[in-house]
Formats: sequence, C-alpha cells, structure tokens
Amino acid sequence: MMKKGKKYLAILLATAMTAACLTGCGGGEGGNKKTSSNKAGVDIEIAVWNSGIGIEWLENVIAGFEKKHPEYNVTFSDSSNIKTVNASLGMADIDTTDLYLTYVSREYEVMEPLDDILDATADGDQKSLKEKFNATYLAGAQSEDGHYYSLTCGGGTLGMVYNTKMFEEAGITQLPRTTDELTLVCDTLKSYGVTPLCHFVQGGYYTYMTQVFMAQYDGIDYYTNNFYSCKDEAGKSPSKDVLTKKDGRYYALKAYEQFITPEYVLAGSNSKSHTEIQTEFLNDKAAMMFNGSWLSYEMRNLGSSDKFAVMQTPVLSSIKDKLSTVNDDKLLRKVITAVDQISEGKKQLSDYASGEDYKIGDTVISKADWEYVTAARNTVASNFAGQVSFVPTYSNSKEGAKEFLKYMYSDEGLKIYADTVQNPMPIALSTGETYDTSKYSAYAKQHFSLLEQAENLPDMHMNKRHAIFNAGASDFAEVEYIFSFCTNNAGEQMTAEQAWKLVIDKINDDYETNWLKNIK
Amino acid sequence: MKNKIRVLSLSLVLVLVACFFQDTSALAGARKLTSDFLADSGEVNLTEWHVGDENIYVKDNKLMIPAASSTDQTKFISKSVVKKSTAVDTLITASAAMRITQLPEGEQFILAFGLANIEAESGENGNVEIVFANNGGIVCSVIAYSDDEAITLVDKAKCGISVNSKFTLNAAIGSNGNFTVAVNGKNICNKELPVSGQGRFGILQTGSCGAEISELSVVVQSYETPENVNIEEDFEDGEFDASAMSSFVRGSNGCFPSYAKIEDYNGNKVFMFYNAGLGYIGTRYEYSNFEISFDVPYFQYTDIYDEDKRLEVKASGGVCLGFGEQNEAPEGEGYIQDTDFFLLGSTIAQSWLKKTWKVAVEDTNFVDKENNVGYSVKFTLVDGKGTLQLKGAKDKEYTTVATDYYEDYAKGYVRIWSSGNSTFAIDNLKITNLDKDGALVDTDYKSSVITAEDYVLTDEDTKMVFREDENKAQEEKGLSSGEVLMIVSAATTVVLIASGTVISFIWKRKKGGRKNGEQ
Repeated sequence: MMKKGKKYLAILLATAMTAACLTGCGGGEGGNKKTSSNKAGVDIEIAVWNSGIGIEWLENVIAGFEKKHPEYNVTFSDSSNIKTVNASLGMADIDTTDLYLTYVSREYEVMEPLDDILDATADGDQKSLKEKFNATYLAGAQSEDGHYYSLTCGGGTLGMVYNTKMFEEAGITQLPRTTDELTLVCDTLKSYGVTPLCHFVQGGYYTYMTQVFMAQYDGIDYYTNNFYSCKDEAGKSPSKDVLTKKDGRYYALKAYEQFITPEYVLAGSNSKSHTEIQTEFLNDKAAMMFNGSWLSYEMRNLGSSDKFAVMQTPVLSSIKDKLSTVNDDKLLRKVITAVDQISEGKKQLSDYASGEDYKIGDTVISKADWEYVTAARNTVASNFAGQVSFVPTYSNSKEGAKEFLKYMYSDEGLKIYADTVQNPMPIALSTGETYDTSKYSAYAKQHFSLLEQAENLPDMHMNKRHAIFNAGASDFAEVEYIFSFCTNNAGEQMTAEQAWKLVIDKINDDYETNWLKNIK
Repeated sequence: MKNKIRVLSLSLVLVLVACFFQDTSALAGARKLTSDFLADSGEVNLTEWHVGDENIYVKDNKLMIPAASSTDQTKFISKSVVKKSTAVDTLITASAAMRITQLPEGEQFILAFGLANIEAESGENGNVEIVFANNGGIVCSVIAYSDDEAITLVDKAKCGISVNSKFTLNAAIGSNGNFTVAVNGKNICNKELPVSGQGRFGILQTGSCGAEISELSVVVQSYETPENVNIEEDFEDGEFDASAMSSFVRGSNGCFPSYAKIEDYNGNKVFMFYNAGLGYIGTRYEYSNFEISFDVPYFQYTDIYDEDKRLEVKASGGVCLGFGEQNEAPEGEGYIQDTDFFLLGSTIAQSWLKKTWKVAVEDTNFVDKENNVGYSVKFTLVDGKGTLQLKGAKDKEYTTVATDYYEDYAKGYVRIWSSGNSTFAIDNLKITNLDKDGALVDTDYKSSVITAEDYVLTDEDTKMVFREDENKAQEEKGLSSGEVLMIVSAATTVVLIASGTVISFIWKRKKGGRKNGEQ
C-alpha cells in the first residue's frame, strides 16, 4: 500500500513539474516557412522554388484561395535553391509536402496524375482548364502514358531584349527579322561603337533561342514528336539517328557563327554570372541580350524598364532550304513583314492572296511556303515547363492540393499571378477576354503580346521528352558552342562545322556506352 | 656630395633581354588592322569577314567562289570599317593574287570599297568599284557612285588578263581621297574620288562569276581619338578629381593598417598605397596616344617589425603601370587583360605581358634604398611606339629604359596598380593626351572624397536592458497566463512535496517499531 502511495505521489509530482516546464516555453516560427492566418481547417503544405518571379504571387494566391475556401489552411516553404526545395521529394515517410511548385523532370512514380484538374471547370470559369491551356504547351506537357503529371506554374517567354535608345542612336529602324538580318544589325551597332550582344556564363539563355531555331527549321511536330521523343521516321525509339541527323541544330550553329563573334559580344560574357551580365546589360554595356519575361520583375527595382523592349526571335535564315518559292533572305524578310502586319491587324491575309498562293510585290509565294514562314515566325521561345506544379502521390491532402491548383489556374487565380509578376502564362482566360495589361510595363505587355501571337512554344523541359534526355543526352551533347564562337582565345575558337563534328563525336561516344544504359 | 642619383645614361647598367624596332608603319593610336580571309582552322575567317553565300569556301588555302552557285547575293565583305582620318596617310590598302575562273558576257566581278554594311549591293551610293567584265577579253573599269549617279573614273581599261589567268591587284585609298589601282603592277587608276571611301571592302558580283583568290590582304588604317581629359594631380588638396580618375583597393597584404588614400609624406600630400591588397588609381577615360608621368617618392624596400617582433609592414611588391585596359571598373586583376603592364621594382623594370624587354637596374645608382629617395617614371605611347623612361628623384632628365611597338593597341584605360602587396606612394601624376586633333572634353570637377552621414544613435538604441527593468515592465503589465500557470504548477509541486514529506513522517512515526518487511 505504502509503495503504491509513493508511486502515485511521484507521478503526480512529475506531472505537475512537467506542466510547469512546458508552460514556460514559447512556440516560434523560423526559416522560410509561412503560416496563414486561417489556423483551423485542413492543412495544405506547399514547397515552392523562389525563382526570378519571387513568391509574392503565391502569397496573394493563397490569400485568395483561403478566402474562398476557409476549410483549408495553407502554408508554404520556399528556397531559391531547387535542390533544397526538392530535398525530401520521394521520401514518403518524412515528406509532408502536399504540393510542389518547382522543377523536376519525369519523376512520375511520385507524381499524382492531374488529368481531373485539367478536365474540371473552376468556380467562376466558363471553360475547363484543358480548354484554356495553349495547345502546343499541353502537347508537350503530356507524358508517354497519356497522363499529365505536372503543369506549369512559372517560367515565361523569351526573346531578344534590346536597348531602344542604343538602337535609335545607331539609326536602326528595322528590327531584325531573320538571323542574317540580325548579323547586319550587329554590324551596324558595332560601326557605331556599340557592343551588340551579351550573355552570361555557359551560353546564357541562348539554349532557348536554339529551341526556336530547331522548331523553325524542322517544324514543331518533328521537334516534339521526333527529336525530343528520340523517335526516327521509321518509328524506332530511342534512335541514335535522330541525334546525329543534320537538322535545325546544325543550321542554328551556322547562324550563331555569324553573330556570336568576339567583336560582337561583350567581353566577360563567357565568364560572368547571370546577375553580373544582366546588370551590365541594364546599364547600357551592350545593346541586346536574349532574356525572358521575368526580367520585368527584376527590372522593377532598377526603374529602368522604359528603354528596354523585346523583339520576336528572328527567323532562322536557313529555313529557305525548306522553301521552294523563297530563295533569298531579302524576300524572306518581306514575307515575314507581311506575316507581322497580319498578326498586328494592320493587314489581312486576303490582301496578299493570289489564287491559292500569295504574292509579295510581283513574287508569288506558295501557300506551303507562306504557312511554313508564318509558323516559324510565330514560334516563341519559352520555358514554362521549367517550373511546374505537381502533387506527390503520398500527400495526405491530395484533395486540398488539387482544390488549390484549381483555384490557382482559375481566371481569378491567373489574374492574381499576372498582376503580381506581370509575367504571361500559356493559359488563356475562360471568358475569351485578354489579360488586362494596361498597368503593366511596356516590356511586360510585349511578352503578353508575344504569347498571344504564339502558335508554337518549343520547350526543352517538356514532359514528353524521351527518358534518354534525363540519362545524359542533350541537344548538343554538352558542347559549349556559344563559348567557342566568341572566345578571344584563338586556341579555343571553333567554327560551326567543327562544333557540329564535336557534337556527333560525343554522341557516338556516349550513346550506347552511357545514355542507353542510364535510361530509367 | 655623394650623388647617389646619377644621370642614368652614364651609371645605369642596363641589360636588355630584347628591345627591337618593328616596321615603322606598325601603328597604334594610328592603328593598322589587317584582315586575313583564312582562319587558324583553315576555314573562312568569319571573325573578320562576312560571307553572304554559304557556297564560298576555302580549299588549299585559297578562297573559292564557285561560278555554278553564284548569284548577285554572292558576297564576301570585310567587317573592318574605313573611317576618314587626316591622321593617317592611307585609309585602306587591298592586295590580292587571284584568277577569275568564269566571267560570262554581261556579268561583272567586282572588288568594291566604301561599302555601307555587310549586305551592301553593287551600285549603292558611296561605293567605289573595280569592275571586271568580259568584253571579248577582260576589261577593267573603276566606277564611283554618288547621289545615285555612276561616275566612271576608268572606262574599260585593258589590263592584260584573261579568264583563268593569274594576276595581282593592288588598290589603295589615301587620306587625301586619291584612289590608285594597279593590275599586275600596271597602274590603271590614279584619281581623286568623288566619294569619301569610308566603309567596307568586299567582293561582289552580278552572278555566275567564279574566282580563286590565293592571297587577299586588306589593311585598314584608323586613328583612334577617344574623348578624354588631361590630368595633372599633386594631391595637395587632399583629394583628386573623381570625374577624371578613380581608385579602388580590395583587402590588404595581411598587415594592418592597410589602405590606399591621400596622406602626408615628407611635407607633401601623396597617394599612398600602404600594406595595400589589389587596387589602383587610374583614368576614367580611355587614352590612345598619351604620356603618363609620376613620382614614386616612397617605396618600402624592407619588412618592418614592431618592438614585439610582429610584422607591421611588408616589403612592397613592384609599382605596376598598366595601359590599354578595356574594363572601366575592374575589381579583379584587370591589368592581366591590358595591352601591357610594367613592374617597376627596386631592381627591375619589366614589360610583363609582352615580355620583350626586362631591364635590371643597379639599385645603388638609381634608387637610394638607404635614404628612401624615390624615382620618377614616364611612359609615352604614340602611334604604337611605347617608350619607358626613368630618373632618380633628384635628376632633371629622364633616361630611356626601353622601347617597344604595340601594333594591336587602339585605346584603353591607364592605371597604376597595387598587385596585392604594395607600400609605396605616388605623387605629381600627369596624363596628357597626345592624339592629333585630340578629343579633349570639359568635365565638372567632382571631389574624390566620399562623405556619408554617420548614423545617429537614439536613446532607445543605446538603452541597456536589464532583468530588473524587464521585471518592472512586466509587473506593470501584469503576469501572463503562462506565467500564472507556471507559478501555480510550481506551487502545487512544492505543496505536494511538502505534504508527501509530512505524510511520510507521520506514517513512519505511527508505525514506529514495525519490523522491516512487514506490510
């Protein structure tokens, strides 16, 4: 009896003391974790990559979502380092994330299909999400099994950003329509003492320009369903022949060789970081830089957006090889001007009609050629697949995460995103209206306009690409052609022919010994 | 009186590793730019030439223009641009050894000057064209185009060449506007041009023409006259003109204090690098032809230790003078990218990048280490010829230490560098523009002194917070719920312990003699 009494007394004392200790401790929030004000409700935990567009848009979307859905409580953690964001992905026993907004490629085994979200019509919308998405984006977002495992939540459009003041001072009134004309513009700028181009280390953003050139030369269908599906014309996949074929990649090199030269490119471009070169560009050290719509968000703090504009990526001059009635660059430029005037609403297609074909002055342009040039001109560089949303299969709040996505992709959510970052998404509004960009910077408006006109959005990060591109293969087998074309070190300079030969040699070396073996 | 500083030409022992004179036509400031059509890779040199036709290729070191694929868009145009200048004698010379492999009647094969851009066409205003045509034999005309009019300077001259025969062509435009053309050494044109001749050189045609060009040399002479200012700075005001000059220093050599600033030295104000890491003082403008001179009144030759034998000051690395720098605001070792830089130490004066000369200097006759009497430096660069001169601080005349030619030099920033470990002073810095018709500009003086308002601490900032104050503040606020609960819990604990002790004591007393083990 006595022993039991002592025992109960000890327990009582321990409990009292423990309670005393715990009440003395304070709770706290640390790191990059944000909690919403809505403490009650089902939790949805988001892990987000804090990229060039920041996270303010997400905070605003969360606020809108929680207002509409008080039954949910949304928190998020962010990092500017993708590896940090993705650190726990796949670890079902410790990963509590319900929704990722980051970059991953082909991790389908941990991704929940989002087909139901695409088929759904969000509250307040008039169309399903699938109907709102840009068709070529969606084609690339679909994986081989027909499902959609991730959808864009960032990235943007890219183009040749230029300093309008420098262009004006050099007397340039015609923006380059072809790559040959781009070389001419570089020559003109140089003769006025202006450095024409800049990029940052490892080729800057030119890899996205290259995707446009590939799609322009080979067509978007070949780009998506052959090259990046690694499928040859006989249907064999993967096929080394696809990688070694002299296609748009080769002609892209021939084009770059003309304007990526030591005298046209800002010194330091091959070694300086993205931030350093971008700062130099924004401070008038070079006239042009291939860059993205997110630059608008980054320029806001510098207050320097007025003198920068973006032009459509020039058409690869070599597409003349594919045309039967357009055999010189000057005529090609005239056709492009006509296509632009139609896009801008200044002219109609019927203004150029000549029977079944078309006419520029006295020159007949075949229908096929006209359509080929139109498709090439309306091919816009993008990297929307470079930041995607997906729900891990082991999430405890899949329904909540999907509800959040439905809201995020609703007209209301999209407008919040657009107004916050002034960055376009390949998703139209369900009502058919265009985004209200009246308060956006001129630069941002141009990107929205680029996307509106876009027929094709080549994107090397698309889900549709063959697993071999995650196993080591890439468009140029990691050959640093941009560096080689503009290095001042004569010993490291390469011509386009030399660069292409190196690409083929590397493919021959690695295709079977490494890439095929590494395919998961 | 011992004169430690003697005229350098008598007492200086110079060892010249290499000191040579190049062709006097090697120019810089006035600058000669030679465009070769062949790259090191053996392919067309796209760095210097624009090829308007992919069918143009190189074979056996010859530039091949195939007739079968040639059209009026088959062009080969130099990227070097001729700009009119009275500072040079000849604007451009073009020399070619070639043969025309095909020249159908009615077509033209053209060597053109004054082209407006890399896509220029035949017959555009400003062009000067040497036109080969087949008129029952090849004839050569020279035509200039101005105000939409073709002005024939030479009309269908017979020049003794035929299809597939090799010939040489030499042409030049003088700065006086005179145009000379010779084919196989025979003069066919020596006329004043009705146009400026400014622009590019190129090979054009009207179509279906073929050629093999085994030698093609185009030399463009230009004269750079960048805008800049003359500088004369003795630092006596305790500052310098920041619109003309800038300075920068990063880190130290490991000793402290470490700085680069204007301070007193021997009764004068000097710019002192003291235990300085990487840094410089130099120009904000680029210079083409120029002269820089400065004194080095103080140079730390030996390590200095304090009374506790700690290293206070390191023996200085050399004074580094660089020119031709392209980076406006380098934060790294910018001088490595210069056209050249010189290291001036106590025993050496060295051209570091070109490495064409190195002068070993007898220190006892040049620099007085014992009394730390300094020396002066003068470097002059005119039309590519660089001349380095030194003198002892007390000498009147400079002595030329070395000369060299910098044929690739056009213009650049000029700086005196600390290359990572420097303790020396600069005084009487002078930089003079020596360009012909130099483009001197006026600038508004801007003090190099940077002022910033110190942060003013408020009472709130400086307030010390003690626990008593905290408690007092807390008392005034009252206890928080957590604190109340904690007190209650603690009190309960105490009560329970006390009660338990008392109960135990009473129990034991009550049971007093109970034997051990009995319940």
